[in-house]
Parts: sequence; structure tokens; C-alpha cells
Amino acid sequence: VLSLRPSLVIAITSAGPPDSLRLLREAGVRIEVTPEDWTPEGVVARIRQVGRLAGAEAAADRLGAAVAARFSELAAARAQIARPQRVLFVLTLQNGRPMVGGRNSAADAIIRLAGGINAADAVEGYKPMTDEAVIGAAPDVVLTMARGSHALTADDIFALPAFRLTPAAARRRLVTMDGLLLLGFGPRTPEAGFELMSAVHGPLATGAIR
Amino acid sequence: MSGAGTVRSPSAPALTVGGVTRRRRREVALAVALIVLVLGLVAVVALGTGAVTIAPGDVARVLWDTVRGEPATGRDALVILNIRVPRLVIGLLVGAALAVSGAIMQGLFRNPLADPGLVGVSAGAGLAAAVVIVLGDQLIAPLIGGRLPFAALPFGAFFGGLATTLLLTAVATRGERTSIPILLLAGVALGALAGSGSGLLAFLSDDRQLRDLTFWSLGSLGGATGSKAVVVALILLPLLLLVPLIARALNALALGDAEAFHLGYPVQRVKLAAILMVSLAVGTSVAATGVIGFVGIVVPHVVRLLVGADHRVLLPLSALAGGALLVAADIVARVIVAPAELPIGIVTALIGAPFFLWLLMRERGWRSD
Repeated sequence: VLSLRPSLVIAITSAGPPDSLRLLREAGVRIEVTPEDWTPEGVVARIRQVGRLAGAEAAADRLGAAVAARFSELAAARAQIARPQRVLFVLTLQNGRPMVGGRNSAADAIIRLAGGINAADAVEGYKPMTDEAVIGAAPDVVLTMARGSHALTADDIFALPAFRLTPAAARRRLVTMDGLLLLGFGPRTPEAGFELMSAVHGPLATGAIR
Repeated sequence: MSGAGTVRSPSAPALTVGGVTRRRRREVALAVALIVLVLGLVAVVALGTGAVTIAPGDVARVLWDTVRGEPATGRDALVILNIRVPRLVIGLLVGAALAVSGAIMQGLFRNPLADPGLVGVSAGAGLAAAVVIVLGDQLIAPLIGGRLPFAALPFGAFFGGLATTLLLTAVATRGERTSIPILLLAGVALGALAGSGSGLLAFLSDDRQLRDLTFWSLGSLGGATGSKAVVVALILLPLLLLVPLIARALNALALGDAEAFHLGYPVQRVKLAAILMVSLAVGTSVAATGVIGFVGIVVPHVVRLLVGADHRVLLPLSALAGGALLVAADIVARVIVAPAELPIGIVTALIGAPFFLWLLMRERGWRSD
């Protein structure tokens, strides 16, 4: 890292190992830590913090305010949802084994922002889930990340015995979104929330909320 | 599990190429009964437990209906027939294959520490799997026109393992003779090479791929489907039925290559057959479930403590005990942290190691034969 001759390092709270960070500090590099926080307040605070550190305070404040406003609109839209859907985020499905996004994950946070219920909230973080537990989680919608040629298709997912028995399979409801947009938790997150919300709960503008 | 009455006495012959005494025969019968009982019990529990609660009576009814040829319907039937039965079948077959492979390797290498990984299958399969996971999207998908199929990982792992074994055997064979020590050393070298390749791929991988790699290298019976179980059974069942054919020759090989040759066994053919069987068995297992350690090394030792080192008894009993251990470990893996699932490799070591240590401590008279 030192060979890049940084004048400022922005690290997230969980960055490490501590020894490396101390070494950087001793080498005279300024290190600022930003919390890993998946709430609207956290996103806005991070925008402001990074803006301040980069010397673009005014621009960051404007962006932060705009993002905060979009978050409020998202919250208002969320309040109109009559029947929140159970959403299961599937990170990977290697060899037919689902790795899902549980509590305390960016996936959990974006599902909540979109007004859904995380179907895997009995799991902590990203973990492999037992096939049978997928049935118990009873997702209305399966959410995955689009990733090049490896994007999962509805045929792949709903052919698996565990997924075949879920409400999502009955109506073949699979939502695929760009990974960075979905889980990045930056200025675009309110848009990700809107996109996921309309994909999961139907278009809000026409009032066709299930 | 109490094996007190069936553990062979230290004075019993370590190896019986010829006949078996009546007492030994009774001990073997007891061990067979014990292992079959445990296996049956484990299978019943495996079908009856899971994240979806199904009453034992309903489990029995679904199975009975299926046996009578009546199409079973409803959620319970689907869970049992489409998830639990394939998982049980794969668990039994893979456990059996790993344990038998371990027993063959220990006989072939005349070394109690030998394990199926020694023929390079695990390392080769691991490298191939890492290639598929990390580079599959960029390299392989465009070649076959578009999307990477689900089967890419198991196929890659299988052929990766097989290729490594063939390379290894070629290195260790001079003229008409395969040298076991060279096989062992070359196996270590190739293992290191494949390990560094896998490490490099882990370095290149992104967060998601790294997670897949980690969990793949610890194994899991998750993702079992009916069709997967059929494919695994089509390869492993005939293989397991063929294994007893080399039992007598392995007994003779324990005396030494030259001795076995003079006893009239085609030593070179037996070696190649054993290596091929192990690489097919382990390659298929790794492809289906990822790398599952410990079964191959500990099960043959436990069985040897129970019935002695005669491969005619050791091989079939290792198969039964291996299946039982793996299915038992899988029950723990999917129940203990439900709805999440523990990698099964963690559980096999957690159950197997203390049990093995306990057996070793009880058997003070035991020597490594």
C-alpha cells in the first residue's frame, strides 16, 4: 500500500490486520476510519465524511442532502406496502447449495429498505443454508446478483427440490439486480431500494401494491 | 457405541491370508452385526430429521406408499423423496467410497497414514474446482457459448482428479513397474503444486468466489438431487462391488511386492487397478460433495481395530462404517446450526477424532502392523 504513496487512507471499521494499519500510521500516512453501516443515516454520514476528507465538503453536503431526501421518499413508498413480501437473497448456488444473506448483511439491509422481509433472518451473515430450511423460509421472491454469464436463471433455481416447494417457485418470481448497485450502500442505494421495491412489490406509481 | 466385546485380542494374528479360526469368525460376525445396526439406525434418523418437521409415522407412510408404487404427493412426500432420500443415498455411497479408498491406500502403501488424498485426486480435483469457481465465467463460459452450466463444477473436479492420478502414475511407473515410494513422493510434490495453484486462484478471487472456495473445500452433502444421486450411484455402486476382487491380492501385498509376486499375484495389475479404483471413487465423491477429510483415514483404522487387517473383511466393513459415519455427520451438520448448515468436514473430524483417540487409548496392545 505504501508504494502507492497515499496521502490519505480511508478504511472501513473491519479493515485490518491492526498491525498493517499501525505500520501505515507510523509511516506518516493519515488514516481515517469510516463505519460499516447499512442504514440511510450511515450512508449519508459516510458521503459527508468522505467529502470532508477529500476537501469537497460543499458538494458532499449537497449530495448527502439529495440522498437523504430520496431515502425519505423511499420510506414514504415503503409505508404504502400493504403486504410485505418475504425475500430470500441467494449469494451463490454452487453445486446446488444455496448461500444466503442472513441478518447483519448488506443484503438484509437492502431488503428491509425495499419494504420486504428477509426470509433468511434466522441466519447470521452470509451462510450456506440447509436445503430443507429454504422451504421453511418460504420466500415469495428469490433475489440474486447479476454477474456476467454466471447469472442464475429461474430454470436453474426453481428446478432444485428445495426451491421447487417455495411460494417463489409457484409464480417463478426471481429478481436479479446489479451487485454493486444492490449491496454497495453508496449514493445510489435509494435507487437500488426503489428498483428492488418495484420488482418485489409491484409498480408503486399505479397503486398496484399487493 | 460399545465395541468392547468385538475388539480383537492383541494375540490374534494381524494378518490371515489363509483360513480364519472359529473365534475370529464369531468376532467378525459380531462386528458386522454392530456396524449394520448402527448403519440402519443412522439411516432411519437421517430420513426422520431435518429443518422441516415430519412425524415418524408420516415418514414411514410416505416410504411405504413409494415402495408399493403409489405416487406420493404433498409437501412431506416431496421433502422426503426429493431431498432426504437423495441426500441419504449420496451420503452412504460417498462415505463408503472414501472409507474403502482409505483402506485400499493403506494396504497398497503399507502405511497406516496413507489416505485417499495421496494419489493426488483431492489436490487435482481441488485445483480444477478452483479454476471453475474463479475463472469459469471469464474462461470456460465463452468457450462453450454463454452460460456456465451447473454441472461444470462436479465435472471439472472429477476430470481434474482423474488427470492428476494418471500423471502421477505415469511419473511413478518405469517400464513395467509402479514404484509406491515414488508415487508417494510425486504425490506430495503434485499436491504442493496444485495447492499453490489453488492458492493463487484464491488470491485472484473476489469475495463471493472466495466464500464458495472455502465452503467447497470443507465439503457438504447439500444440494443433493435425485438425478445427482443416480449418477453417483451408477459410478460408485459397481465400483464398490468390484473392490472385493483385489482383497486377497492386497493381503499378499502387505508382505511385500516380491512376496506377493511369488505367491502368484499379478502385482503390477493389482496396483494399477487399486489406483484407478481409488481415483474414480474419490474423484466422484469430491465432485458430488466437495473435499471431505478424515473418513478415509479413520474408518479403516476403527474397522481394523474391530476385525483385524484381513482385507476380505476390512473392505466391505469399511464401506458400511464409512457410510454410517458420513450420514451421521451430515445429520449433525444440518441440524446443529439450522437453518444454516455446517460444512460436513468440520463434523467428521469432530466426531471421528475423539472416538478414534479413545479407541487408541483403550487398545494399548495395538501395534501398527
